[in-house]
Amino acid sequence: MKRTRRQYYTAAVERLFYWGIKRHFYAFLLSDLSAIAAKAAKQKENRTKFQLHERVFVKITKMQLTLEFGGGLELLCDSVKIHSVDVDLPAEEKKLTMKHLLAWVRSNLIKERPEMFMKGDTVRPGVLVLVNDCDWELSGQLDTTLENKDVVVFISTLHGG
Amino acid sequence: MESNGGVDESARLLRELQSLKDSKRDIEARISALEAQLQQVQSNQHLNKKASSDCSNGGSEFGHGLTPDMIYRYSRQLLLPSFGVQGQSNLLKSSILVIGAGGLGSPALLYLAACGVGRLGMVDHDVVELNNLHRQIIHGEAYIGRSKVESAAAACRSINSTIEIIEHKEALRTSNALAIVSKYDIVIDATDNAPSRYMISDCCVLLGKPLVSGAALGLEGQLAVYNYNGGPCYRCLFPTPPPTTACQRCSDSGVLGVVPGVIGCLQALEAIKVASLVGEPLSGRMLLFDALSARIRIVKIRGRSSQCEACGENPTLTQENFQQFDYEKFTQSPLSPAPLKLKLLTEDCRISSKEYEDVVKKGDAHVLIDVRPSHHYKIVSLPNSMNVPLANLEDKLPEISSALKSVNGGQDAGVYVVCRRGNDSQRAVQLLHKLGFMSAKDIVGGLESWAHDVDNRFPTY
Ligand SMILES: [Zn+2]
Repeated sequence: MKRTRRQYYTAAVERLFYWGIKRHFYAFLLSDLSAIAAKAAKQKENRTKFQLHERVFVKITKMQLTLEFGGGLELLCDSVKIHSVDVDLPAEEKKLTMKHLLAWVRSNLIKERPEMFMKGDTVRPGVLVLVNDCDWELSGQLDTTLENKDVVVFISTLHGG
Repeated sequence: MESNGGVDESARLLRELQSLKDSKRDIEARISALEAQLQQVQSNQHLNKKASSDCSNGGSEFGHGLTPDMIYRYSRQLLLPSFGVQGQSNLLKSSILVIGAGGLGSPALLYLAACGVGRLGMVDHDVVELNNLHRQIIHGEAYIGRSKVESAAAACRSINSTIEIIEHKEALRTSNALAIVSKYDIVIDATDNAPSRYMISDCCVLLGKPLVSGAALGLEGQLAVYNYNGGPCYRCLFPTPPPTTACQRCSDSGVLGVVPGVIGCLQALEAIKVASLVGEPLSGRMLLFDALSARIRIVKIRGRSSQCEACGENPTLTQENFQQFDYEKFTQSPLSPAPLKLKLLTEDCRISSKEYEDVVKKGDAHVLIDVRPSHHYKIVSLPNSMNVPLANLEDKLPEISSALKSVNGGQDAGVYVVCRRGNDSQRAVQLLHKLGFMSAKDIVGGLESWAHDVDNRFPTY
């Protein structure tokens, strides 16, 4: 839902922007180039401000994430594989890291045998963590900073055949 | 006296049987070694002969070494612009070893034989069982009870008699792995357990062989190419083995036949790509297959780790300590999937399935609790048993109490606990003792022993 809204906003702004250019093209016939450039720059600035405003708004409230469990880990959370969740930012923090998320998952999603999911403050051996389809080893493991709408996958390695 | 004599006699017979079986196994091992040697010698002769005949008439006149028969057989692959004569000719010169002729190995072997891999090896020590056939599609009913490798080799030969097929009818161990793997260019891990996966990966690192690793369980599969072109090895990804409880087996958790089939086909595909030098193998990436939701996800995984004990900058792995390394101890799980046999209870808290039969026959008042998960209970169960899965045991105590009251007013009524193989039933009895049901006893060996010792027509699964 949110993504559609954002796309709608972006499209609307873009439409306004290009409509502006079109108007300036006609204005070009009447006025000088520097005035047009100044106007265009101002419009661009407005556009960036608008997007920035939206991003900040989402960040300071909570993080919307998709969490997926596979390879048997879903059995630890009522056999549900995909969870769309809103995670509150930790108090006094401006960002959400994987370390926070793991603690959150442990207390909010894991219903049984937490030792099958975690060992210490990280995942147990044999669990792969993927942030947006990328091994978390490549993004800093526990220190990985999450963005709104990120997809985090926890998957247990399989041995059967 | 007489019964004692009988016991002695059966012990003697058992000993003699065991020693005969041992020597049979030794002889079989020697036979298969000699057969392999013979095959090697014959194939060398064959290759020499072919090479000389190719020079005089066949291959060389087309400039690529493919005979007219080969051109016709592999024509649909030769017609592929991105594969073509070069890809096929690379494939025909390559050798691939498939470890495990089970659910993953079956389709992999069939496709590799069909597509024209020059030399195809297979390793497995197991025999074909009826409950393999739903997924191990290379084997047929006629081969039940016979070696999986024999069965798979026959199937491959019937598809393509022009390639060399090598049978390794033995389990892959640290003592034979280096010798076997070194004879091949590419390895396919189609095994079903954690220690084998570490052993095979280490062996491939030591010998510099690319490893196409697949796994499947339930309705999910995973696939990756390790130790290829500077990419990571299995240990880079999983330096520490998972806890034993996290290593589920198909024989416990179940598997839909086609799922390992899909992964096995993809393993064959990746091996073909590596062998023919065509395309972009799945190295540094992993494919995750979820059959239930029809989702395939390909993710980027870490590169080679400099800290890796096998392939890193200061590896501790050498050929010598590979042969000494205890992979079963390392992963805390056995190489061959012998079912776990726990012994948590003392003898007086247990009865055999035969003794339980007497309880039933005498009509002794009792309650039989079956602690398997409900989807197991639906497959088959003993009459008059109540299903209380182990996970819910504590919550269902009132039900057990009222069941006890309904038989014989609860007076002197026995509580017997049964499961599939006799492990969970012991855990359940321990719990019941703790919760005050002191008379609870478990049936040793579970329903499997009931089927084996009491009622041969009782289904096993
Ligand atoms: Zn490594």
